[in-house]
Amino acid sequence: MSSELTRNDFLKLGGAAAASAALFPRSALAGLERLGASEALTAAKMLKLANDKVTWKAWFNTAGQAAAKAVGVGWDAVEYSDTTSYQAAIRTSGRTSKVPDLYSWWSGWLMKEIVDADYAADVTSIWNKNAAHYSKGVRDAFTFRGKTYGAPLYIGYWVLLYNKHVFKDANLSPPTTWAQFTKALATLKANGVTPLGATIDGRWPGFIYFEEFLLRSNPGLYARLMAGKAKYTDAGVVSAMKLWGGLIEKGYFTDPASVTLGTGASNFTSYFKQGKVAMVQIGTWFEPSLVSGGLKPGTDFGSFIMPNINPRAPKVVIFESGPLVVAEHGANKADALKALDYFMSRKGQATWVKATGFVSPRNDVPSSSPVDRQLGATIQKGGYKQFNRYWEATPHDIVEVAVDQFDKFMLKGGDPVPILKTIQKQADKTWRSIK
Amino acid sequence: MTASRLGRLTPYLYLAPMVGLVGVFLLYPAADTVWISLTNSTGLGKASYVGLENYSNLFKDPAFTTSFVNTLYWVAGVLVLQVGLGLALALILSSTALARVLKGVFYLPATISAAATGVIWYFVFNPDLGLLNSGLRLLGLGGLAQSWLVNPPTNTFAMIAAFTWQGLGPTMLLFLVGLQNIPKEPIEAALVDGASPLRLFWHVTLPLLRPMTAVVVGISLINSFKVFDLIWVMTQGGPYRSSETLAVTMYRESFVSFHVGYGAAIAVLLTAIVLVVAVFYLRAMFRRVEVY
Repeated sequence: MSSELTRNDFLKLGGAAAASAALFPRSALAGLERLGASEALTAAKMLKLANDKVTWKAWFNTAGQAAAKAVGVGWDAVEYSDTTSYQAAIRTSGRTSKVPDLYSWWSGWLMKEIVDADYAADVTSIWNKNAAHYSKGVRDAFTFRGKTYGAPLYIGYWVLLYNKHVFKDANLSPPTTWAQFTKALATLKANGVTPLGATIDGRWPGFIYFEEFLLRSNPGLYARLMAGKAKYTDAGVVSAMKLWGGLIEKGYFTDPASVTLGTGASNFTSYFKQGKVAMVQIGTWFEPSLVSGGLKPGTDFGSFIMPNINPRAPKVVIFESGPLVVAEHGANKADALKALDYFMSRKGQATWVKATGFVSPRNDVPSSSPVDRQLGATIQKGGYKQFNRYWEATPHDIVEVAVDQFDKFMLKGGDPVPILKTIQKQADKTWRSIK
Repeated sequence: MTASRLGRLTPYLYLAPMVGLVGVFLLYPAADTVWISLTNSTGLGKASYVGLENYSNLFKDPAFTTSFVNTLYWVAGVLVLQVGLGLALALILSSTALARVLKGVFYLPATISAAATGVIWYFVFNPDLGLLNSGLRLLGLGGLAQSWLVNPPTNTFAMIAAFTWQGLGPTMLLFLVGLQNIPKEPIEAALVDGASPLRLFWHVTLPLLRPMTAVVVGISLINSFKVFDLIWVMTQGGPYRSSETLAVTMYRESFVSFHVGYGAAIAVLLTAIVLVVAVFYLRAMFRRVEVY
């Protein structure tokens, strides 16, 4: 028998290789690639974790490999660069076995849609195991009709990130009352610094200051408005908008058409770093952008919760949390539930927080950032009541119209009533279709 | 099977693969889109039949009205700027020694993708650091500096300018080809008769250029109706939906707001408009061409 590779042998080998590539799932091949790196990893089952967070790929894979080593089921990230096509992919595959085993999503009303469509697996039992370590507010964001449908992939508190050097130069410290806050705005403006960053880049940031000023004026009204039990034309909402308009007129915000949150010469980080803008109201997830821009947490920037406008209002803070969902109809549902169980455990969260630098929603896993550690302590000790972010807290058909109207208000100012009437018109239509 | 029957079937067998492909990839999706436009589909779960509700809602929706008006701006803007300037450039270049070099220069933007063009012009129009406002300030015309992509309808006009910058080259080249194919005799005869340059252009060159003009205007017309990528990159149809066109509104309703049924209704309407305009235009143009 000749040892020479014949044409037939070559074709057979090629055919076998092609068949393997076609038949083996991508995750299994990815697992094979790491053959030799760890025996535990070789034996592990690797699931697909779909998401639209391209910059998180390495973090997902680090956590997925840790899960594989720990419980024999891990995951590989399958990332979509565009949120729109990502949503379309999940929406079209959600009822089939082709759906990714695990996927990131949005909480609140956007999540309700996939729960109602039977796309998300019930993970109540996993939550029950960990109930003592997670805030009820976060769980509520993923709970519908008494059942919980996702684990918190991240949590972000909405705070004012401030440039410590700018504050020091203006002889300011983080304000604790509304009077101190408005005085700080005036001082910064007089010092030639734009006090607050604002943008309409990407449309969605339009709601940021509306949400904050309304919540800090009347938290109950905010909650009722989100639930369709109050109207955008109510006096309290109009008053919050007028306050916002007044601050815009005083020149306390950046030109929303000029500044972006993303890349480019006119991005917020560069203005913030140069001390041209002193503060920005945003989620704590924005901190890594400041860090990657060369700013050191705790040294160059810090955070504080905006003081209440109404001093009699309770201590409140906005949070956002996106869920990691197990696909109800996924081909590996049991394994995906096992992986999610690990992700929510102390060990799983510690690995995830170490990789990402995020705040953990789990109270026994400290953050790596001194700014977030301080914030976490403030929220816990202060007994802050947590409210879901506007984007997730109210039906998305209303949000879509509202952000455009808020953008218009930021650009044009003037009487807020026509803006609020337009939003209310959509709210009436939406709530009518839901109730 | 007899030979004569096989012979009759042969042309259909040749046609079958293409009919199959067109059927699967064009006709079926088109028919499905029409069906979806008659439902309340959100892309999740089962959709219900709602009849013509999506179509009647279109005419009550202020965003649709803005989008329709913007589409008309685009059609008019592209026809005037892209076709008009393309023809003017072709006329100038056809009588210039530097034509070969300049043709390349003017064609260069067409080699860039629409998305990249959008990014370039987004920075040109940046109100703070953009080239346009910086240039205006340098020339002492700072009063004219503004947020070009913010105020309607300036934002639409700004994007039409960017679109023209990119599309001018191919239009110009087509007109140049058309000019080169014009027979010399009628022009020489007109010159001998003492025709002024303007009369020569209006009464001789332009009519003889009509077949090429028909093609250029037709292409520009369709392109202006379906423009999407450049707008999505530069403004995403914003701010506050002020720069959307029908194609952008269709995408946004279908894939951002997930009003899939409503988005499909816009798609059907847009297709119908383009189809009607194209058929009427081409009929009118080719009828006139036959006269000459």
